Amino acid sequence: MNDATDPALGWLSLIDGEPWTAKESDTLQSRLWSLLEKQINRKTQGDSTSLRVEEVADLMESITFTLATHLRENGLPNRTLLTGNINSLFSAAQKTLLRILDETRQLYELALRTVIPLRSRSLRDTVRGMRAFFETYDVRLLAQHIPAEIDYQLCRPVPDSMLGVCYIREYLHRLLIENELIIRFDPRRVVALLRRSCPDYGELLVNLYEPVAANVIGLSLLGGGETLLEILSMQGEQIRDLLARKTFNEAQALLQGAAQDACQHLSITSVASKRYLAEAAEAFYPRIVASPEGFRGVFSVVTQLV
Amino acid sequence: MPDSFAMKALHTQALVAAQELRKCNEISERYGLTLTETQIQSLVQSRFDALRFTGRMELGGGILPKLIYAFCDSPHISRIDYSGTLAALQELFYTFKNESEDAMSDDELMEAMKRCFNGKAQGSLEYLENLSISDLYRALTGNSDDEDDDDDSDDEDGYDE
Repeated sequence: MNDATDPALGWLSLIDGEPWTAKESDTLQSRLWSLLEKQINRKTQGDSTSLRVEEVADLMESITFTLATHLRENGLPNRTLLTGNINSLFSAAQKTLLRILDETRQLYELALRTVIPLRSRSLRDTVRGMRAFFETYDVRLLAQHIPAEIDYQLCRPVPDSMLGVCYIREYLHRLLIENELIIRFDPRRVVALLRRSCPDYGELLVNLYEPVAANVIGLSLLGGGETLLEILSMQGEQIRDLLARKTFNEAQALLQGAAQDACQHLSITSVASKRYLAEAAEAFYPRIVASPEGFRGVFSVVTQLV
Repeated sequence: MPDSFAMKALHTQALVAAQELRKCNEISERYGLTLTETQIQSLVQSRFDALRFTGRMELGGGILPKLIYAFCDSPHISRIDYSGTLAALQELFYTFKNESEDAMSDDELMEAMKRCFNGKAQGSLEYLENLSISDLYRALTGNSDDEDDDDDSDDEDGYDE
């Protein structure tokens, strides 16, 4: 029996590669079972021979998440799990998570130094509150948990499939990419843009990057002026007409080109940041061309240029 | 989970548990208490039922051997109801583990149950199953009101008519 999505194997079912055969699945489960016994003993410290099923499931999910992360991070084939000492492999996998944790802590320190909340309560609270993650994250027994309150919404959310420290690392990575664009502008212009976009943005769960990125892309499509962040209603109509005349693929190419140009004008050189802006730009397309006034939901237009 | 592995794991656990229960007979027979092979198999099954019923999972041979060692010298367990009492104690044990949110270790909980069973309960399983976790804590810490006339305190609290 091939069982590529065996729930008992958790995250290990999702690793790229040939699906597990029935025999391999049995072998792997017995190896995981031995790890589970050790983890249960660590959890109970020998005080209890039984645990609630939910707790056991949590422990098993932590084991499979830890191993899957180790294989993915180190480019190891999934069959690595079937040979050699499983305890040594698990120890190595936990070290991999610790390395990711160190890397994530550095990203966090960078975020603390550089991310400007621009009066957004959710952004400020999320960044501050993330400190709790580093104080309580249990890499040993509950590596898949995310002990942090993350309210601030990213423009391009982290996929739900990411867990534990991998989620936080990716979240911070994306937050720093978003911040890299925002800090290119005079904060007063950004705040003015955000207020045009949503007057109560400071108190709401509003992403700061998206309105900025939209106007940057819009101005780039019109040939420049990104640093001003201001689009007239008439310019919004021009952008809509420009995109509406194109096929879907042509429009996507146009938006991607606009993202590249904008990054060049704004001296954004990182590949990840360029890709992020291009993906955001592509996502604007259906909203811009959805209706004659669709652009108003994307660009924060001004009545006159200052 | 593929059936083959799950079945093998359960089968192995059942074999280990039965073997441990057979060994327990060597101790318990000093008190005139032994389990027949049928009772052993039935207790092994009741362990899986109790775990399923209480939503718990256990590795190894289970809690029954420890329960036997703890309770076999009780004057309130007779040869006739030995097996049934063990099954009931086992289920109560897992239930109390849940109710106490695992705050008590296996040994602590067993000691508390034993003190209550041999003390106030006088071997009554019904009495035991109506105990609260704080009753068990009191029994464990020696603050049991076994010797007190607890009718007085109940009256003072005034919750019961």
